[in-house]
Amino acid sequence: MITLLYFAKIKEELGIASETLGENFDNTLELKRYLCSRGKKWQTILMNPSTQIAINQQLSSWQDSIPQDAEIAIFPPITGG
Amino acid sequence: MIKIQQQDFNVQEEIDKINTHKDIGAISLFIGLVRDFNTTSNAPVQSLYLEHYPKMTEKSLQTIYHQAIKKWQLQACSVIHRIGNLKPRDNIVLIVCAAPQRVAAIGACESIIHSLKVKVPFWKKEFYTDGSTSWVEQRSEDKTLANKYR
Repeated sequence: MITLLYFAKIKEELGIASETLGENFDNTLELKRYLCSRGKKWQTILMNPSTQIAINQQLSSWQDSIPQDAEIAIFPPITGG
Repeated sequence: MIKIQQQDFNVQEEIDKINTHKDIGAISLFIGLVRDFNTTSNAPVQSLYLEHYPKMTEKSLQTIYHQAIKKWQLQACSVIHRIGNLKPRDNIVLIVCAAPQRVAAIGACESIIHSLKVKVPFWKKEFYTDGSTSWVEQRSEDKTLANKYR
């Protein structure tokens, strides 16, 4: 089971802040494919090369393995400071 | 010291706290403020909302903070970053670095803000006087500057 969190513009565009998925995913690429299957809105966001992903609060890539019970966050480029 | 908070900070108070440490010959600081205009469109900003990813914000800031202290041999360092609703000219972030010499104090301050800009998950949403809104975009120079301190 994994927890997905969405932030900022992505959260607004998808209309969702968080969800839990019962499925297991070996890596972030598999997860991306699954989320893209939800439709155009998801594809546009996830296929954007600037969309970032974090696993258990560490910045990751779209090819990293996903540990069990991971917390995954998907967000646009950071703009703090 | 690292703080992520809604309330404003007092710059002089934070400098005074840092200045209690020994072996300090230089203190460098950076203050980030809420702009009163959008940098692309020049649209006047009425307010700013600062969103963050709790837990990851603290973790990533801790990493940058400790890396800077070690690399620049700082005597003391404080980073305070605000979240929530802010107005133009409000304080957003304060970085104070103290070291025996100025090169270290200035270098550490620069490295922390440039790294924070691309590694610590905050996002800014601007609300304009005409009622429209937009999420601030990351600038290409932010990554270039952060890479300088990788």
